[in-house]
Amino acid sequence: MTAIEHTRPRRRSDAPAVLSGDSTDSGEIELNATAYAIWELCDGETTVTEMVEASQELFDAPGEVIAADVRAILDELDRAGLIDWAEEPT
Amino acid sequence: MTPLVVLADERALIRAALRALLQRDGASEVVAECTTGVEVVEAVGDFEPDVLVLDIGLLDAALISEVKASNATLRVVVLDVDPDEERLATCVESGADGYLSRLHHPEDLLDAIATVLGGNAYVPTEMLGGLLRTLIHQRREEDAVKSRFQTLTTREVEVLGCLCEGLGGDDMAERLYISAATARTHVQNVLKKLDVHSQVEAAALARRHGLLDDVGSRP
Repeated sequence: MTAIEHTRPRRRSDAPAVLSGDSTDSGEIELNATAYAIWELCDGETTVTEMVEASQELFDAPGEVIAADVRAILDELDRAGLIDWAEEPT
Repeated sequence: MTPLVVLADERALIRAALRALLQRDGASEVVAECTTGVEVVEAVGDFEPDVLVLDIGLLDAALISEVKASNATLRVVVLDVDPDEERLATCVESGADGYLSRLHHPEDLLDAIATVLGGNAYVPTEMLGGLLRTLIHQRREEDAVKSRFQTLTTREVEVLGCLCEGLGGDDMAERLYISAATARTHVQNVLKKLDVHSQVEAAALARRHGLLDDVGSRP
């Protein structure tokens, strides 16, 4: 059992095509800019904690709010079948 | 309240275009135009603006920290020539709150100003992932350097301090009441533990990461 903060989400190789919200091309899944940036970080090496800490340097919100936002994005990516986890979060 | 803006760009034509854009419909008030870093510092002190729009040609590492020291609520938006991940990271590191390039739409600058005034960073959406990755790599490097520094003995930390002061082997030996040969051995150990190849590199690393700033609190 691993706390989600220490897990390393990774992009699924069999995931549908992903586009950033800014793209004008057609695609199967369109993400907003923040979700797309988080998805890009899902390389199987970067931990959720690292994603949250880096985001805290850019966004003026309490740490727990940013952590909850990042987790919500990852949940959304997971549900959409775009990522899986190097280790399953608890 | 209308935000007050200082424009900094060497080129009069660009300043005039930016002024027209920013003052359109009373969106903001341009209180000063500057062409050098010195003028920027003076204008920020004189006019207490909310935002500084700074051309990247005038950016230097000290400028943003200097103007922010005199006006803590100031937000800085840097205009680059074209989008560049490395320069974006440098801008963020220097304390910029917003970054966009001249290739972006003029409305994006208005967006950037509104965003930084709201307390958030403004980064072009297509560069957000790259910037987050850069910040993560920097933090990893920082952690790795600090972890290597923790392996230095108290004497080796003193030796590193001497290197930062530019002391040579004989002066270092005299300062630390050790022989020159012992000083040389300590220096070699410091280089090895910090994984650097020269005394200059060790001193630069110590300065860049503030390794000697809180030596007193070291376990």
